[in-house]
Amino acid sequence: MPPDILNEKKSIALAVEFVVDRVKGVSLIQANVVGASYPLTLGVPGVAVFGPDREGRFEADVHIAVAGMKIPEATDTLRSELWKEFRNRGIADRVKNVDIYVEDLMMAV
Amino acid sequence: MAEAMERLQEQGPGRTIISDAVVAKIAGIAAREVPGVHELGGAAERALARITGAGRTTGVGVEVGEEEAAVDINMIVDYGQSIPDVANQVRKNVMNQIESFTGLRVKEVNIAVNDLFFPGERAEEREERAA
Repeated sequence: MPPDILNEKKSIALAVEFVVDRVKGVSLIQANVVGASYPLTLGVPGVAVFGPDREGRFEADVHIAVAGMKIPEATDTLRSELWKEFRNRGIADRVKNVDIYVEDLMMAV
Repeated sequence: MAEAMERLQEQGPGRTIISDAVVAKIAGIAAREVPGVHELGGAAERALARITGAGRTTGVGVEVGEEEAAVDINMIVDYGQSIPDVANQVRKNVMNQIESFTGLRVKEVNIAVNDLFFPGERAEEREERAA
């Protein structure tokens, strides 16, 4: 894989990690992605970046656990923060879409 | 409609996928909240759960689609409780909790009552009887 593609994937993965760290009640969770192998996860467990497609855009899968809040609330906040961060970093036009996988729920019972 | 489009534009494209394990966990907790539900799952399932540590999802099977979910629950009811009442309450609570926590529409909650719990009965006795 050419280094510039690898770097772009890495910058997307790191942006996702940065945002998830800041959103309360959400954490990244390592998941087995079908067909995933290095460098899909790029050292950020729970994030897999695929692509680029013909237009040079990437797709990201984000695997999370949610704690102490309702899932739509958590994923809506996360998604909007992710795109805000992509725009801030100037990489929004390089990302086609972000799929959020809720893999676990931490509940206090 | 316009509001939803606006929200989508603000949030950006992409899907949200909720795993079966998450929905099963919510269903299991919701079912256990109902008075009269003694335990979830059959004897073999519970024995397996003790080994694997999958306690909260024992006795719960789910199928999750993009917008809908279907739930199957196996449970043991306390002796003396009305089974239809307990089952109805379980169904209601499971539907409410899943819909409120995940936003998924619950298509059906199928309930199987596979045993009764008699006060004073030991778990081993019941498991022997069930086997």
